Amino acid sequence: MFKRQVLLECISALLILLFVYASLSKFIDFKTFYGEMNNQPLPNSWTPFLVWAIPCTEVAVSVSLVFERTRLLGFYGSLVVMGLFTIYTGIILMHFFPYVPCSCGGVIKRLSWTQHLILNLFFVAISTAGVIMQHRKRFTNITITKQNKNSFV
Amino acid sequence: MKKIKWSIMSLALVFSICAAFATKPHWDCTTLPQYWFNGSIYQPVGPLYGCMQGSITCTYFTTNGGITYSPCTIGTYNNCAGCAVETSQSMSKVGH
Repeated sequence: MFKRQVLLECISALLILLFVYASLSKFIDFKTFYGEMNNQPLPNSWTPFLVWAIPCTEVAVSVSLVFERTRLLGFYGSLVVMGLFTIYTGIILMHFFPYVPCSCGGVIKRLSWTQHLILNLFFVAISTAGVIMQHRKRFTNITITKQNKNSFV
Repeated sequence: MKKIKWSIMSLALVFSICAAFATKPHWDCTTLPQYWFNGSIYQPVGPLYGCMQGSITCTYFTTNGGITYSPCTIGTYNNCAGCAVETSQSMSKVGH
């Protein structure tokens, strides 16, 4: 039980590390990020929305991962965000778009798209593990509470 | 358990913030060769190029030999900035 809890904390911390780093890198160098979004093979009319939506979602997921009450939501959010990034990376690697844009975001831009895909898959895997473990933890807590109530009666 | 939790969380938070600032690019991308995107490929900029007003990316640079390109300057690329003005001037001269 203790080991599982520590593991859950470590998974949350890793995801927080990724999302805080990624969002902060975007905000620090916002001008470059704006240009990089324009460079993506997506309509440029989406850029003003995406440049705020992506880092703000990352911050929201990070915050929800910190607190026990919202952690399950955070794991689901992380799974959705990382899943979408992974699908996008996969599409880029399949040369679905006419050109290969940069793989942006702080030090992540130094990775090739294949390395980016591996990194994304790793975070999808740990988000999935987080969802499963958090569900089990909730189920165990509910069972213990019910047992305590029954013994009290 | 709470102590362990907050230690791990604080460590992750501090590390990510420091990493974000440490990896912030503090060099000028315009010192590198510039490229412009013509709709299908990236081409080296012309000797008289200019970036006109606009919100899209004007020129790009590469740090990995052309595998990927990152945006550098913002605006609308003009292959021969000022040439159009010169042409109209010379044309008006011809008119005189």
